[in-house]
Order: sequence, then C-alpha cells, then structure tokens
Amino acid sequence: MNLSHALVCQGLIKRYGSLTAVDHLDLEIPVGRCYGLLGPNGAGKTTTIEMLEGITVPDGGEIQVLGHSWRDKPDAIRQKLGIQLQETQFQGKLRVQEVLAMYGSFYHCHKSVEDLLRIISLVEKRNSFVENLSGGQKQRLALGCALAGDPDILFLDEPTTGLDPQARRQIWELVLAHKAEGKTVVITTHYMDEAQQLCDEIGIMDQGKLIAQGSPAQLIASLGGDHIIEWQVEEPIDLRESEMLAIKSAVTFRQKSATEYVLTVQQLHHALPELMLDLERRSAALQALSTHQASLEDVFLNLTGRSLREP
Amino acid sequence: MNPVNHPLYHLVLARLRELYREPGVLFWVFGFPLLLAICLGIAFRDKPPAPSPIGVDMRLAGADQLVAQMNADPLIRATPVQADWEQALIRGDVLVLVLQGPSGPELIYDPAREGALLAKVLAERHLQNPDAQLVSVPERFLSEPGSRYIDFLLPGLLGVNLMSSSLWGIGWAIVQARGRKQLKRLAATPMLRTHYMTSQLLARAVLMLVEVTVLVLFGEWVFSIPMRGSWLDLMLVSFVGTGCFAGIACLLATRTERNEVISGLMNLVMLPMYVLSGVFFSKANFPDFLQPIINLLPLTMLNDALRGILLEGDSFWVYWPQMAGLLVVGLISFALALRFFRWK
Repeated sequence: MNLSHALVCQGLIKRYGSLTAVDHLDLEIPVGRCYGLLGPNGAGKTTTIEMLEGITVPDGGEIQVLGHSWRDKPDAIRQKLGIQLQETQFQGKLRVQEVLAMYGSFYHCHKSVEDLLRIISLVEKRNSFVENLSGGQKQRLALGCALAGDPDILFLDEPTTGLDPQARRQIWELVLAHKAEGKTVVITTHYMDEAQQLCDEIGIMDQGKLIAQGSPAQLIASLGGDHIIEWQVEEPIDLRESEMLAIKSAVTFRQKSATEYVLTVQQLHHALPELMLDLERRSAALQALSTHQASLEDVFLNLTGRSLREP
Repeated sequence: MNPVNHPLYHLVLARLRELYREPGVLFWVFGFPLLLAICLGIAFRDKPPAPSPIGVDMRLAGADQLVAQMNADPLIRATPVQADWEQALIRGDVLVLVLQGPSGPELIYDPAREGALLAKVLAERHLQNPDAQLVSVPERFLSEPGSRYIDFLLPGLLGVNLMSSSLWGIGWAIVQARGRKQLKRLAATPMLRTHYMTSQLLARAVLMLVEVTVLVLFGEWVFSIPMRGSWLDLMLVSFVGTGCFAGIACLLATRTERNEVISGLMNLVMLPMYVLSGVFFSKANFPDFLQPIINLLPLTMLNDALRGILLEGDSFWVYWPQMAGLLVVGLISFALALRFFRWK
C-alpha cells in the first residue's frame, strides 16, 4: 500500500446537546509521523481522537484511516489500529501475560506475548495480577495491549497523565521506539514537554477548534522570540506597548494583570538590561522577575491568553 | 486457526479465571445453594410427629393419675401446672390446659394456634374414656424417596440456581466491565461482538456443569433424592435453561453501567418466577386463569423439565415444548441485546 497520509479528516463535527465539542476540524497526518493534539482539558482532544478511532460516530465530516472510511471497512481498519484509551481498568484478577494473549487473539497478525512483555519491560511481572501493578506498569500494560496487533497507527489518549517522571519517560521511550519502526502515532496530551519530546507535528486545540498547527520548532518560532521575560511590580504602572516594543529585540508585549507583564524577546542579553533601566527610570518597585526559553505553553498563552493547565 | 489462539478461548478463560480467583464469588455460586438446600432439607426432613404438650391443673381431682396416663401415650407430653396456668398457655409451653370446672374437667385452648386442635382431641380421648383400649389402625408414613417435600424442592432449587447464577453472573459482569471502560476498550479491537456475548454463555455453561453435578450428587448423598433420568438429558436441559437466562442477562445489561439499575432489573425479573414457577410450592396453588402465564415463564419451563428428569426419569424429548420455549426466549433476548448493546 502506497499511502502518503495515514489519517485524513475534513470538517469533523461532534455535538453534545448545545455544546459543539469538535467544530469543523481538518487534519492530515502523514505516515510515519507522530502527531500530537495539545490543548487544555475540555478542548475536544479526546472526542477527536475517539472519532478517528471509530469509537465515537461524528455528526459531520469525513474520516479516512489508511485510505479507508469507517463506514466501508470498519473491521479492516480495526485490524490496523492500536488504541489506548484515557482510562481502562483491566480485570484485576488476570495475569499480565493472560491479558496480552487475549488482546493478541483479536488480531489476524499479532505480536507474541514474549515480544510484547519485552517491549513494555514487564517480563518479570508476567505472572503478576493486574491489580498488583503500579500505575506506570498498568499504563505500560495498556500500551502493550495497544501494540498487540502490531498496529500501523497507534492512538494514545493522555498516556502519561498521573504518572511520575520516571514512568513517563518509560512510556515516551516506548512510543519513540514504535515510531522508529516507521509507524504512525497520534497522541493527545496537555503536557507541553511531552508534545515537544515526542511529536513531529502538533495541532493546538482550543474549544473544539484547531488554532495552530506545525512542528514544535515552527510553533515556538511563530512567537518571534526565543525568550520570555515575566515580571511583577508592587504598584500598577503605565507601560505602553509601543514603549516596550522599542526595547532592543523585543517582539511582543502583553499585560497579564494589573501588576504583571510579559515580554517576548529575541536576545535576552540585550533586552534585559534595557528593561531594567526603563523600570528603574519609572521607579517601579519590582516584586518578581523571571526569564525562560519560549515553549509551547507560551504559544498557547499567546494564542488564547490562557494557560494550558488552568482548569 | 489454532484453537488456543481463538478469541473465544481467551475470552471464556478470562471470565472463568476472574471467577475462580475470587473466593467470594465461589461461595455465591456453589456454597450458597448448597447451604440453602441443607437448611431447607433440615427444616422439612422426615421426623416422627412431635408429642402435643398438654397441661393438667394440679387442683383437678385425680390429676396425678391423669398426667401419668397421658404420658403413656406417645402422642402426648403432659405436664402438671400450678396456679400460673395462664402463663403456660400464653408462652406456648402447653397447647391445651385441663382445669377443674364446675361439673368436671374443662379444656382451655386457643383454636387459632397451630396444633391446638390436635392437642384438644388427644386430651378429650383420655378424659372421656380413660380405660378404653385404643384400637390401633395400621398406618404408613409417606417417606418414599421421590415423593417427599425435599424431593420436590431440590429440582426447583436447581432451577432457581441456574437462573440466578446466570443473571447475576453475566449481568453483573457486563455492567462492571462497562463501568471500567473494558467494553469500550474491547470494542476498539477487531473482536467480534458476538464473541463477547458467546463467551459469557460458554463460561456460564462450564460453571453450570459443576453446579448441577454438585447439587444433584449432594441431594443424592444427603437426602437420598433419586436421579432417575439420564445425566446427559439433565445437562442438556440445564444448558438450554442457562442459555435462556444468559440471553435475558445480556438483555437486562444492555444499556446501564450502574449497579443499582442492574440489581433492580434482575430482581424485577426473578422475583415473580421465584414465587410462581413452582420452586418452594407447587404452581397448582395459583388460580386456573394464571396457569397459562405461569407455564410460559422460563423458570417454570426449566423446573418442569428438571423435575421430570430427576424424579420421573423422563427423557429430554418429553419436554421439547418447554425447551423450544426456552430457546426462543433466549435467542430473542440475545438478538435484542446485540442490537442495542452499549459498548461505551
């Protein structure tokens, strides 16, 4: 099969009552890429991925998975997909290898239990009951079940939510290894570091819409500057945007609250001294000041004025 | 395809493992019906009639002699009563009291009390003609295995057990799996939907073999309940019954993910059958106009066939209308369940 795109969807719509969870979404995901849907809770990421997975039926739009539509060849498509849902509790009294064998049996062409155990690093836990696994181990088992059919497309819905840093890193390695085999990965997350680590391309979602798309580097470059300076003063001061943008290499300026300000700059070493001088001239009493490298979080903030992790 | 890699094999095995690795479940499947059979068996076991307790007021002329004479009768347990005779009656220590009346002995009793009339008749017999030799009429107790109450009861209990373990076992498992998003996860694989339902039925059928064997052998050993038909016929009938109730269980568990809802639905379905389908007492006790309805209840059809095979030694084919009825109910339920099943 010679396909350029693993997934294509156009004008995807899903409504729940008066709420439009997904609003005319277009996506094109090339074969062999890792595509990340990034957005805050309630942005419509899960609804989108479950429509692509064939679990939720869209109210409108077209989906092509590996060149087939869900209406025509649901069984053929399912044979080629590996799916990890946001939350699945496997039966607690089954052993790890029993769960993997069962999921493998659903696929015409499946990986051996031995291979799966090795891939998800649960060889020593093969005889453990599911209920005795740690959170990270359970998540790796869920990933093992998703990989059981040796899928062409792997769907992961917030795979590392609630895991400790080490467990997250293990999941990331698994995903990267799968991608290295030339397979396609679709992942939803609200962790920007996860998206930055894993994804070749990112779609930023907010309120059911795709508000930006591109590689992590492109998205960050769209801010125009690599560094962010944030500061807070004790008493509100009158800072004009034109004055702030006059600072050397400044790109954007934003007032976060009455006493909080954000400046995006290209060259920190030029901009920061100038800003300090300016504030001193205004005899503004600084309460806090910090700088960091621009991240996807800043892209989202810049696009929506809200933080990714806010409720 | 290698049978050991068939999805059904794994699904059935997963279901069985879940059961036998959970000791609490084992008790409800096997322990509970056995315990119920033991309790009911003891309550209704064959026993000689208990002697009727009769009190004799000590102020009665010749009281001592009367007590002695009554106690010679195996059907009477007579006790001398002092002044507190009222208390003895109220407490039920004695059912009838013999007092000194104005013109001879007098009997006091509550006719509504169970056994009081019998005690009265026995007391009268001794008062009216103390010296008469009682004519002994030959008598025989109904205690042939196969015709006692416990014989009637056990097949009914077997039927109830097949019904409730199918309904609870399958209905509960589906609702739990839905709540834990296991159904959603399975539906996202290429697994055939019919395989999931069939696996529930097959797992239940394996348990059924054990349940039926244990309960029937237990009845044979402990209560000498005969098994007059063939085991194959018994298992066939049980399997058809299990299939019917498995279908009903899937239908009841089609939509909900709440334990309260499935419990309510199952009780709603089971309770009328507990009462009407001839489990604890014969369905003939209900009025004629109800009989056609009662005979169409799945548990009635199953119990009729189980009783016939166990007690009468009938063959499976005698009950073909009942079996056909069970199959129709089961298949319709399965089909409806499959059509409306909520996997999410």
